[in-house]
Amino acid sequence: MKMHLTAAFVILMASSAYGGEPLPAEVASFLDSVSERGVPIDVVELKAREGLAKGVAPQQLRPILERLVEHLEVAQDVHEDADAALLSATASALRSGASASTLRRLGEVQAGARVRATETLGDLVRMNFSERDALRLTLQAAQATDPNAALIGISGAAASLVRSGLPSSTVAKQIDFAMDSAGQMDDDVRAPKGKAYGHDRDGGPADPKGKDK
Amino acid sequence: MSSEPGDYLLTHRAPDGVMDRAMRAPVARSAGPTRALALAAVVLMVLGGALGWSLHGWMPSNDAVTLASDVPVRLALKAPGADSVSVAGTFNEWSPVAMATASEDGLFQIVLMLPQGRHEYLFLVDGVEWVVDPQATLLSDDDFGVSNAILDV
Repeated sequence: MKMHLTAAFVILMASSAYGGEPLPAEVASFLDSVSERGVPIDVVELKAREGLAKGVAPQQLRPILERLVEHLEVAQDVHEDADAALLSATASALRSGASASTLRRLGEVQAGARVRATETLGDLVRMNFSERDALRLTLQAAQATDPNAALIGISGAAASLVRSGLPSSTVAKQIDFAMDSAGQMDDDVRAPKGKAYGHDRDGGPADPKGKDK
Repeated sequence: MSSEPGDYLLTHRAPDGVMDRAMRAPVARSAGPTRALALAAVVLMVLGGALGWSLHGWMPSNDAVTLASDVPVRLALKAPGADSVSVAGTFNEWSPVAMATASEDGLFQIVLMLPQGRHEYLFLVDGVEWVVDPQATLLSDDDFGVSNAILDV
């Protein structure tokens, strides 16, 4: 049975070659007009293709695409020189209810984790976390050694807990607790109680009692 | 046109690493307080464990994180009685790709090689019904009145 299942798997390479069918004239002309506004056209086209695939009439797409373009323009103000992925994530977070000022704070996140941080912030706001809680949890996770994994973990854990019926404020506290505990575990590993060795976070030798001074 | 999560049974997806942590989180529906607390404990243990490992040291800000190459992700939907199931999403420009069926119990599945990052997708049953992955932890409103499943790779 497993052999048959395995044989039946279809391995596909992710490729933008999928789709690619000609767009209806009204959608194509709208995309042309959008390209003059400087927003990433690929993001708008992808949303158009999604709507068309789901049976939305081309004329009904326009207001939805217009709103996406507006969010992308705000995203450009939030993050100067952002690539399409960050602009798309920021537009999505804006749509979820995050404010531009909160999203701007994610500029302090390391570049390789900024898209994921934006997605997590948007997830948390969409789950009715306060922006303050969402930003705090996101920034904290973004400081982990593997920030992308930590941010994914927070989004998934928050979704599961909220879906179980817990209020978002309670979930925020529980995730806070989990991250604090994890951080404490890490501190214990690096500097067990009663011993002073290793280095502090500034790179200097750990000397909590100052006995060497 | 669309179905709610739970109408179809998904066997599992089989990604590695972060997918295990992110997508295998248990999904509870109509959970009571006790079950909710138990679930919370489990999720926090998983989250705490993941963070416990990942918090070894702190990276200087603005350092780029090196990303690995594409990741194999298996999507599966058990849809007894369906003649066909396809999957469409941001990874294939929403152009449905047929999923293979290999058994009489209506199990449809596919393996995709996806780049790291966030993807949104839906199953399309018999070419007419968009179905949310019942196992998806995160959902996103798609602007068209249907929720997309979110897949973080």
